[in-house]
Amino acid sequence: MGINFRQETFRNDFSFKNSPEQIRRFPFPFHEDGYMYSVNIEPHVPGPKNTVFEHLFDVDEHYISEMRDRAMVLAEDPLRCQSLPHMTLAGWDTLELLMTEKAKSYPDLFSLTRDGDKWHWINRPLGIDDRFTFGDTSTLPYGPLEYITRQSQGDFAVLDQRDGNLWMDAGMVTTQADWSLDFDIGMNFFEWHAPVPLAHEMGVFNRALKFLMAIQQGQPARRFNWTMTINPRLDTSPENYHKWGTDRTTVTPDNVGHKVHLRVEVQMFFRLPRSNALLFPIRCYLIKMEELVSSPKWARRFHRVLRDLPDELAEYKGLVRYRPTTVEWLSKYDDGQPTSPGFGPD
Amino acid sequence: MVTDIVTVNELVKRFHFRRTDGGLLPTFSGGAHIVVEMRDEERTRLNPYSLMSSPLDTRDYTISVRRDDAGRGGSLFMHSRVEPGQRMVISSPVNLFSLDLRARKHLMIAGGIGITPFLAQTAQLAAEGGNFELHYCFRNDGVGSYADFLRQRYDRKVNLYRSDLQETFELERVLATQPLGTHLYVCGPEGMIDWVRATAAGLGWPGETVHYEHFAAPQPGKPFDVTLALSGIDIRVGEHESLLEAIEAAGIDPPYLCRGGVCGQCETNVISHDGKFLHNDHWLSEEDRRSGCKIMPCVSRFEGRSLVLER
Repeated sequence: MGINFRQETFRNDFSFKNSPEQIRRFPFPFHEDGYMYSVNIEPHVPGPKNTVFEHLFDVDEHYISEMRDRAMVLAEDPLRCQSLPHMTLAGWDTLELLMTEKAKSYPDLFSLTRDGDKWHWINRPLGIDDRFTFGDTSTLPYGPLEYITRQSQGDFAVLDQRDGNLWMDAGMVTTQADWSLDFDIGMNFFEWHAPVPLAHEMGVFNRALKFLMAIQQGQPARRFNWTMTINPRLDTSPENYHKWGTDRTTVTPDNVGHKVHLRVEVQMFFRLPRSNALLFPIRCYLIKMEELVSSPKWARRFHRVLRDLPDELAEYKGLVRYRPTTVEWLSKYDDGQPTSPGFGPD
Repeated sequence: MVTDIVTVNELVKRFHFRRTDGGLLPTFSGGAHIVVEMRDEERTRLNPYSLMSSPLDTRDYTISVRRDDAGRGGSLFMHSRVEPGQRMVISSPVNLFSLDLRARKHLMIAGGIGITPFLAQTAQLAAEGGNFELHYCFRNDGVGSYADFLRQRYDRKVNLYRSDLQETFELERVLATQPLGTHLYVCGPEGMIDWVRATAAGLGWPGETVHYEHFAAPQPGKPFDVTLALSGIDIRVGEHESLLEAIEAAGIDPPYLCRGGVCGQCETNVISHDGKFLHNDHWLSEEDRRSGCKIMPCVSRFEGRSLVLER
């Protein structure tokens, strides 16, 4: 195999692009021509080859560049990675899960050798070769959560489970859709979801919490979420709103194709065995409108989804300013033909 | 595979499980349980048991089963029908009684066979230098499973109380003298759990620092008939069968985790009923019970003319 890792940026000159192969494996999140909340959770089991679900933790052509962007975010703002004192064990659980899965899924890129608690980890794409003692934080350059999530695409929230609730007590969050770990740290499930419109009234969160608290070891689950981002910027955080908020005023009919991105999150849920915490990886995939419309079905469907989205959701997702321009641009690719069921391109 | 069965005392046997391929079993945390599948001719029982072995050694899982002669037969099956070398199906571990890792100190209170989750938790805490104190109440020397083992291993962190020697556990004194940041855990008979919770509440312990695990097994009762409306099936729940087991025997698989009326997973809506519910769970609110709209089929029963469930 071998992945052709791209050298690209998610800031300043925004050289991020998807290769044609990467476009084909894009996790398009709409199975029908409309969108409303649903808990939409399914088992996270390995999926077909050449999809982002082939392995439990997908590594793709953006890996090295995404990790470089994360390091830049952390250098400016170390609070993007936090772990409350009782969450260290969950950090070790996370490290074990990510290392064992990566080494199993991509043996030519990653290797893990274990002799009791003496571990040897090799990450070839990032040029890392470290020996450490599992459970002994002093043998790693960072805490276990930070160490392994500096080497793993996507954000990671680590949720402590107690008192019939989930608590945002640790995480690594640098590629987020406008939420802040530093703001949410220590909050429970209902507190950090408080800003979401409509869903509370629908009882979505009570059902979701009940489901999440029952996630069992070895039976992870996943769901999609989505929003849109102007310019391929991973770090759309509240902390840096002053850097990206105004991007939303720059969309014109001429630049929609390369400036407007659909941002899809594959959210996963894993029960961690030692700490009984819940690991919540949030993996972000970006695709430009001009890349998206290379699939006629996706073009038609996304046009209809965006056009018919309830105003509250458009407001919450921050799409209001550029939605009309984008819908207008997409309408050129919607000939009114029916779309086939399911997620994949035709 | 069952690799060993040890008679602990007149009531308790310990079962050791290993993987048939010799590999490691899944990592777990202290307080977790597994569900053991017992195939008894045409019936299948699924009973939960706390893992008591050390979470640091997953070459084998061990559980202790207390024989309940008046029960529905699961413990009798384990005691009389299971032999070393037998293959059994067990679930992945599930933890509904986990340690609160924020605690500065873990205060544990066990009654009888309720000691088992604490055996795993103390092993986990001891390995990481955790601060704990265990109080273990039991009837007499013959049934004090693992009392000597705990005393030898943890010495003064363990306090034993034998009721046949009139040794009294001064709960109020113990609770009143704990340092700030202590979390309290209790596992044992229902009366003990209620006593500990009420005493702690009376002394001002915040609710979120008090953790308890009921290990109520479903109780036998009079047979009753149920209509499963969604599936269009009528079933009869036998005397020694739980409603959940009867639903499963009809080929329907409701979600479950604890099978003991605690976790809420198998909560089922009642469409109509004419009769009386025997709610034995710790999940439904008073309001739920009064409304007659919900039942926990893992432990609760029904007496009356008709019961229609949304299953």
